[in-house]
Amino acid sequence: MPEEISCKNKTDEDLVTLTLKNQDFYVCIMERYEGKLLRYVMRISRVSVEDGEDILQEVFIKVYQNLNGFDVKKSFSSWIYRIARNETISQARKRKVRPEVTYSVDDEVIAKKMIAEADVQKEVDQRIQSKEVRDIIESLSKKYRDVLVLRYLEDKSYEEIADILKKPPGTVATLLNRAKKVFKKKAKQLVKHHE
Amino acid sequence: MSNISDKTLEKIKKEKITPKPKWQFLLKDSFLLTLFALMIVIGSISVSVMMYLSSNNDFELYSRYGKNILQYVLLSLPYVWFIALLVSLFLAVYVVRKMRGGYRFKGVLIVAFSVGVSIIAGCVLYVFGGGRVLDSIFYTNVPYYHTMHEKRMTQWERPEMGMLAGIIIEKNDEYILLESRGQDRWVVDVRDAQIKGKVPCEQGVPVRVVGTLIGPGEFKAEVIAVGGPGPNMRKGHKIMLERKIMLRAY
Repeated sequence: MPEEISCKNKTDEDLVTLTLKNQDFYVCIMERYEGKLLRYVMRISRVSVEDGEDILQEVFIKVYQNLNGFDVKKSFSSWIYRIARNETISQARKRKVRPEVTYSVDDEVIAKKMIAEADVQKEVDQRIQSKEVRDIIESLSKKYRDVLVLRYLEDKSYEEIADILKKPPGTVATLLNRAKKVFKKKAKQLVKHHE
Repeated sequence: MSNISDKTLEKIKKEKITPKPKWQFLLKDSFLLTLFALMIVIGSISVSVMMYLSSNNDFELYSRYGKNILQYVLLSLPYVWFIALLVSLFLAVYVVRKMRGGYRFKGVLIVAFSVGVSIIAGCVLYVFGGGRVLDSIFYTNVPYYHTMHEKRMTQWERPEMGMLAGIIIEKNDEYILLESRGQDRWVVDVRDAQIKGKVPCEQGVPVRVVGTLIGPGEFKAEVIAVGGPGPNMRKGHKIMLERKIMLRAY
């Protein structure tokens, strides 16, 4: 009698173990991450939805092939995001699409969170237009935008970002702080310019 | 089941894609770990040989007797081992970064750890004579390694500058008969010489002599330091002799 596939009340790590015994359980993992990863792939690659889905399929196959290499003591989410990021960058290179985080809606979200954290709420509210804020976000270098997307759009912790980007957690914290400082500096320059 | 999940599972089943076996990952981990250990071993060997070469240098003789110490220091620095240590550190950082979870460590931390372990293990190796033995092994077996010592040995083949090295052929209280690497024989006046070194200054022992050239084949010693300028004076002799024979053949 075939085993009944139930994804409920199972952690990612449980599902990895179960998938290695019965591949049908892999559907649970894919369904759990499909939406999040498709959004992430598109956020960092500027590809169409169709291309994004193709990339995601490659991501899921890579993940499946490397399931035995996953360390169950670590976060599965970070691991799958890391594979998704690497595969997206590699596919974007093949498709000659420059991976960038330049979605205006996303930039808006990042901008709002940055404004709140960078302590420039008043100035920005009163004197800078939202388009200008988006321009600042877009002008930030890729290394900053990489951490900003994961922190503010994917809501990842510093530890998770470190695992995804394969950087020491201290470096992630430094990058985020620098991004905030650069943002704050540019926002203040804009305010001065308006005065 | 969603569209992507459905299509992906179908592809996995159709193309019979399977997860890579666990041993492949374990093999990769073990390989990287072994490589890292190897880098530490190379670092430790470098440190121990550098310590041996530094402790066995002639800086004291040079500085005390007014020779050109800067030139000598530059000539005698163990560049090969220093480069080996740097390369091993660079590779250690690279290997750790490739290890699972290795990205969490900062490069500085990996270098500090590797240097620390290399120094400790290198000191232990040096204390037990490893530096000397390894230097001698490399001298005998590694092509071109002897050229590192060659410069130092050449420094001791300048009797006109007051520097002479060779093996004691005969000895009495007033004179020693010395044979240099080039197989020239020297009568060395040792009446006023100060002898340095732990090994007894007797027949068959390689020595370095600081003093004055007093005539053809005659030298007056001020200081005699026991031990040859190279890791193995006799082997040095042999190499030089072989070269002479080859040159004559041409």
